[in-house]
Amino acid sequence: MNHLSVLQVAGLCTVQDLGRPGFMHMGVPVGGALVPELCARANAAARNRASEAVIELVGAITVRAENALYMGTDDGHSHEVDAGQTLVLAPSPHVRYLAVRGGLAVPVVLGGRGTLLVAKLGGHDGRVLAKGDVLPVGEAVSEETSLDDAPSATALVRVLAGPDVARFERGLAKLTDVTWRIGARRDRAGVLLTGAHIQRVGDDPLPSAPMVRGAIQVPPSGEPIVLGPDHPTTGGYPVIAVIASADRGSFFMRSPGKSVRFSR
Amino acid sequence: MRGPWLNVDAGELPDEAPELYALAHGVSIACGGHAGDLVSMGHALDMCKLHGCRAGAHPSTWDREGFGRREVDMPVPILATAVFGQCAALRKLADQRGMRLFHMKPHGALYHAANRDLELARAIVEAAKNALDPQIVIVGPAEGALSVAAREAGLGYAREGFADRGTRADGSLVPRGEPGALIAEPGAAAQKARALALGGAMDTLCVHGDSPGALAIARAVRAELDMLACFSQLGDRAWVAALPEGADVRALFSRLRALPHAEDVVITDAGVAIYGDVDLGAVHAALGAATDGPGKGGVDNAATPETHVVRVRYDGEDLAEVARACGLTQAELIARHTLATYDVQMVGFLPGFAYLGSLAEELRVPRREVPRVRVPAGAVGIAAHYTGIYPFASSGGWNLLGRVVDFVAWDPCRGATLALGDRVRFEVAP
Repeated sequence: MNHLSVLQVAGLCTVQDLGRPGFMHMGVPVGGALVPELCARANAAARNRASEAVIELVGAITVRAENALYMGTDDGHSHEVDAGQTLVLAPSPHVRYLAVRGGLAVPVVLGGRGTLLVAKLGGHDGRVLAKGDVLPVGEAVSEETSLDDAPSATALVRVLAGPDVARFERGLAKLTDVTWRIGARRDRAGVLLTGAHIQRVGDDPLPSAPMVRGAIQVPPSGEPIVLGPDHPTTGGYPVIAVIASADRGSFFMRSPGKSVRFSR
Repeated sequence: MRGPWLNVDAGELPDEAPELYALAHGVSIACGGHAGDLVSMGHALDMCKLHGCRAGAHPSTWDREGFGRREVDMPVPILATAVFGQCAALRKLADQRGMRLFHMKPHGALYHAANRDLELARAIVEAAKNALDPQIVIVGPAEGALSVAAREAGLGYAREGFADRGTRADGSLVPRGEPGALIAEPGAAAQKARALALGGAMDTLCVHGDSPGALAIARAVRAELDMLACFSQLGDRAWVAALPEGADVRALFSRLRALPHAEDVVITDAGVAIYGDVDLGAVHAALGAATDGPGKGGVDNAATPETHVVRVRYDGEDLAEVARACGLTQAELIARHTLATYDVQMVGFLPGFAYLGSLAEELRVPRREVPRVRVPAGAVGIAAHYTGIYPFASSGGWNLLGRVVDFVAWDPCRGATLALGDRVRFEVAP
């Protein structure tokens, strides 16, 4: 079996794929890549199926090929890396993906290879990647791949009214009238939006309700939280809107400080 | 979902079924142009009042022989005067009854002509606004001159779809007289109504009162809209509905999970979420049967709930404080906590985290004001009417009574140990 070693890592790097649907009733969110389209691009550049496990990083990483490996990155570039040679992804605030032909062969847990940090589940020992980690690489499957366009990190993000929209005075308008910024508090479970405050009508506590990726919750502070792939499967804050699944990648591509506008 | 409202054309025929008024959310009343007279208009208004549905004006060209469906070839001012006169007549009758008219929907040929011709649209919208009131809602096609004219006039606009008319691939109506113009079968009309409602582009759906079988069609469409109203969208891939009172959650879960295209089902106190491209009619039927046990309705794959006996070392950080808050000794608190058998009422928050209820009244304390940054794995906590076991070390706001002994809430291979509907009893670990 081929291997890939992690020589240097900064920021948050995990193994991800396109998620493990079907276990929310156990409290396990679907998970998977923050920006599935970029994960698919990295895989296409490595001549993999879109669903192979890759490295997702917000930060920087240096890897060494222990055998000759063919790698792909979300910018669409392919990299032939000889045994013993390294590949460096320089520091960046963006979410990026590094794929290896054959895919990362970490064990499949509950139908997926992605890392769910909160449950120390999946990925490489259920944790973030660290210097010295050695990752197994799977057998390459012959695959015709095509490189799709990356989503836009500036486009309007379409939303659907959420189940609790009536709990907000101006309904969706309060959300769609404002230019929001991606807050500094951002992880795979959720992203805080700053720039305005949304006030609820009344303050009666809500019982815990089922959640979904892309749901926009409004906690008492009034600053909305967008649920990421590793969100808690239930939650007690009202959901004003949910990001259309086709636009989720465009939203989660944005790094802290970037702006976002929502539209119906 | 807050879906479209059902509008029915009425006051057009002498033998119209009174039940139409009970089925419609809003009624468009013929006011003399293509059909109707002062008697039928008054009757239609009385029926709206009786059934609590909205009343609106349904003016037409002066064309009683052609039922207002003959091509319009009159000058704009004449048509505007016709609309003004008809609306004003209905308004007068409504005023006499202390009723407000909600909408104006042009009829037949006028409807289509006005939507093609912005000048005509402006003229009839203005006429309706003057004859009725500045809050009147205009009903018309989703796109076209009528919506533009209504927006210019500052009026509300309801985009209308037809549950009893066939549409071509481009979305336009199949013209009357051509095959497929009318949908006469109630089931097909309901299906059409669902597609239009889920498309989200319509504010109101029409059933023509003069169609053959109008009543059966209106019944089917109303039932469909009422069914859809039980659901809220949770994004474009999931639906939520209220959890029916007294539901057997385990059987309900199994039934829903077994539906075609159901990717997942999450049931909480607040509601039932179903993920995937499911048939909402089937979901609705399963919810309707939610109080049936597992044996009924052909569902037998709802495994019998397990009862788990969990041993606890009651040495939690909040034990003393909770006992004080409840006015109990620590021994009494432990005795009460171990006395009940709890149900898994939902699973969520963290993988394998089961909300166990209901906690005895005298043990109910709120969550801690400041959550702990780190609660150890296996901690047993209480908050409000729940008790639960933390499957992982995590942050958490529950009051900690102790720690489980030899119990794993989450297994990396099997997943959650406690499933919806399971029962849990705590025992004091020696």
